[in-house]
Amino acid sequence: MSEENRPEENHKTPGTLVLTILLLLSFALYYFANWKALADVWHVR
Amino acid sequence: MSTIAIAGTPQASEPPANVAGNHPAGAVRKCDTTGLPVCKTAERYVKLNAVMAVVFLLVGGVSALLLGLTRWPSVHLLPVDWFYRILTAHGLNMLIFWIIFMEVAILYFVGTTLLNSRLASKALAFTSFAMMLTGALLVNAMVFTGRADVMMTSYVPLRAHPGFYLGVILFAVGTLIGVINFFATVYIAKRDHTYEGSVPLVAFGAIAAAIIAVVTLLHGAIVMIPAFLWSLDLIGQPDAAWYRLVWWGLGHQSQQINVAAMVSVWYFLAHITTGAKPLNQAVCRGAFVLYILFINIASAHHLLVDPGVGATWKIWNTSYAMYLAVLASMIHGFTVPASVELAMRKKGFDKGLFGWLFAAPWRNPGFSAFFLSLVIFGFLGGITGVTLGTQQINIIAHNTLRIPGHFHTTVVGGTSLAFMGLCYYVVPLVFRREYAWRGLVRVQPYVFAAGITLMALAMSFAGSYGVPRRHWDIEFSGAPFSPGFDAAAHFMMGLVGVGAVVAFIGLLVFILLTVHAVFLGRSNEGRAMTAW
Amino acid sequence: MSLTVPEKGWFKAPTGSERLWIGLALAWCMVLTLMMPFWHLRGKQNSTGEAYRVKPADFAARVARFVDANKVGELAGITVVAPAPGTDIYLQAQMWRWYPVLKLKKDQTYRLHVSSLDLQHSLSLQPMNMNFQILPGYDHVLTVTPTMAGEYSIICNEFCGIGHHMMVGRIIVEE
Ligand code: HEM
Ligand SMILES: [Cu+2]
Ligand SMILES: [Cu+2]
Repeated sequence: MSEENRPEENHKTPGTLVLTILLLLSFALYYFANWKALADVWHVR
Repeated sequence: MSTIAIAGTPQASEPPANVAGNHPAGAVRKCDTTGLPVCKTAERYVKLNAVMAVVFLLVGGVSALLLGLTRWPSVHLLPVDWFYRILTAHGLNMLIFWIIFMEVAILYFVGTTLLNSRLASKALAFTSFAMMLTGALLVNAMVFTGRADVMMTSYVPLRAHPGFYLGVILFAVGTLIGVINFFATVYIAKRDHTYEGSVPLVAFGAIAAAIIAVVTLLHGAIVMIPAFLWSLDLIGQPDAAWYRLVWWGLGHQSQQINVAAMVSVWYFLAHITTGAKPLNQAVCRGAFVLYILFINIASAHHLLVDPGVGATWKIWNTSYAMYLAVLASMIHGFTVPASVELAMRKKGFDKGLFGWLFAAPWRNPGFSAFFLSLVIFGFLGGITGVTLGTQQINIIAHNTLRIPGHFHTTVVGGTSLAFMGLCYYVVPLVFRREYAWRGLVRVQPYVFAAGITLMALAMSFAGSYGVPRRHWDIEFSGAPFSPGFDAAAHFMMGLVGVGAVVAFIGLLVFILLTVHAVFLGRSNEGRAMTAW
Repeated sequence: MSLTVPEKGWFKAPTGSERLWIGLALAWCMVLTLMMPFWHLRGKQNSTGEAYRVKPADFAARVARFVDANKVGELAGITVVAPAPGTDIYLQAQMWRWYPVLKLKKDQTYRLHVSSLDLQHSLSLQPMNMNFQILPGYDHVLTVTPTMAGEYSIICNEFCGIGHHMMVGRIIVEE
């Protein structure tokens, strides 16, 4: 039982970190592209 | 999967857990595959709710095909009145009936099996199920007879037959009773000491979903009861802005139930398909707590270009409420694949950065559905959702097809796909029937994911050209002027149609194989399920 | 693991790449949060939600007075108005038309009042793709400055009944 739940001492997950950083980059790209698109329309308040 | 002990190692400070649980004699069986205890009453209601979920998924799915074929400009299948009628039916049957029946089934399963408890009340389970079913049938009767062409949002002053509002109220109260039954089960499990220490992570996620569900359903009552009374002419018309504010307290938060339930299913499937376990339970649980605390006013992001609510209110509620929930999703988006990576590396698939990913059980439909759901939800649903929900950016997105483009990657490519993956285990483990045509089952998640992704991306692109959602004719026949959308927009609408057809095929394969397995599948009683 | 109870002592701080990711995600959420007040102060496109309660009949009367004072012609059977820059201008939404046609000047600012006489509608300016919700009982005031000349369509993108797709209006912006 405790074998199952023993805290992971050495948990290296470099693949996941790369994937999530990829996510963050696409996120930033899409997000700021949308601000750019917004900046091009008529002014409104 | 190795046998699972339910109770933890006895701790000095606490009396040992009651390993036998609190089941009356004969009311429990031991799962032949996992060794987990299964409460027979709960099992019956898990089955009933899951079957109804799939029935409404079929109604919603046929509607989806008709919608896709109407928005495909060169097909333009339905006449105008039926387009809006079917759109109303699709929204309700999918977003409400399929998803929520499935969630009640999940709550009953988690509350009993994972907590080693009996279901608190058979009577409540029956009442809940009967009310939900009556409500759902009543709503569908009203919609399909043309007495509720109001979309699932039924924004006042649009007005439906009183039976429509009554049906929604019955369904909501029925769900609330089911959720109360779940909490009662959690309570008696604790009282009877059927488990040791803290509840399992999947149960924790389910409890988070259930707490949000209570808040959501209360909003539902606050908004639907006046609408019902108004439809009977007993009170005046509710204010349009007030209605939108409270309706989205229901409509948005119910999406958070879906997210919390989906993430719990991710943890469940990740474990059962690869043996994954979370790196750090405190992090995972903390992220669920963020969902509960910070989601309730994030519904503001549906009112970002509304009159009457000021910029400060909009910005404040979008930022603190939404982004801490976003943080939670980003955390799960790491912890879930990381747990898979770790489990695979421990099994020896340790080559390079992604050796673990290539070696993952991609032929197991439980795994592929889960992982595709994770990728679609994170990369498409999350990114688009946060961007569209940014206060000012919403100006170039509100009510365009970018919105359905977004939520078909959250609640469909995310939640619904994860639930399909769950079914590939629920049917063999709870119904104790095996799927036939297993090759077809293995490709189903890919087909559905591909179709939905294509459709959602095409919707998003069309929406950025300004193509509206909930719209029968982008040629604007009969209008005094024609906006004349870009040719690229028309092409994208064609892709929406193609994607819809592919997704529908994936959906239909899921439904047919599941219905076949449930009613005609080979029984596996007395032995472990055939591994995927 | 996720299906059984966690071992005692599970409550601990994250480490390694998990900790790094949480930090990155938190930092990103701060960026998301700060962008909105930043744009509110510096950006040119904001939805402030300025609105006043108005009875549909009163709004219709104001629109009628506005049209009488400023009309200059007709287009596709709909009155065209050319209001003076800097003034309050009106647009009425109802099943299923936008009234009247507005003729505006580029780079001039107008206070555009929009409300509905019946159901909810949504103003969608094309091909600019700017969108605002329009409710009965609320006079939604948009302080707009058209920055490009040309002919623009206003479509309705909130479902408002069987003729929803026919609800198209026009704004003309002149140099
Ligand atoms: C085969 C799968 C599916 C296809 C092809 C599909 C297609 C569509 C289409 C074409 C629309 C109309 C968009 C518009 O014109 O505004 C739509 C709307 C919608 N769909 Fe789906 N859909 C699918 C599955 C689902 C599922 C599983 C859910 C929920 C769990 C869902 C939830 C919705 C909702 C909430 C709407 C908006 C309804 C409204 O505007 O009132 N869909 N879908
Ligand atoms: Cu309209
Ligand atoms: Cu409309």
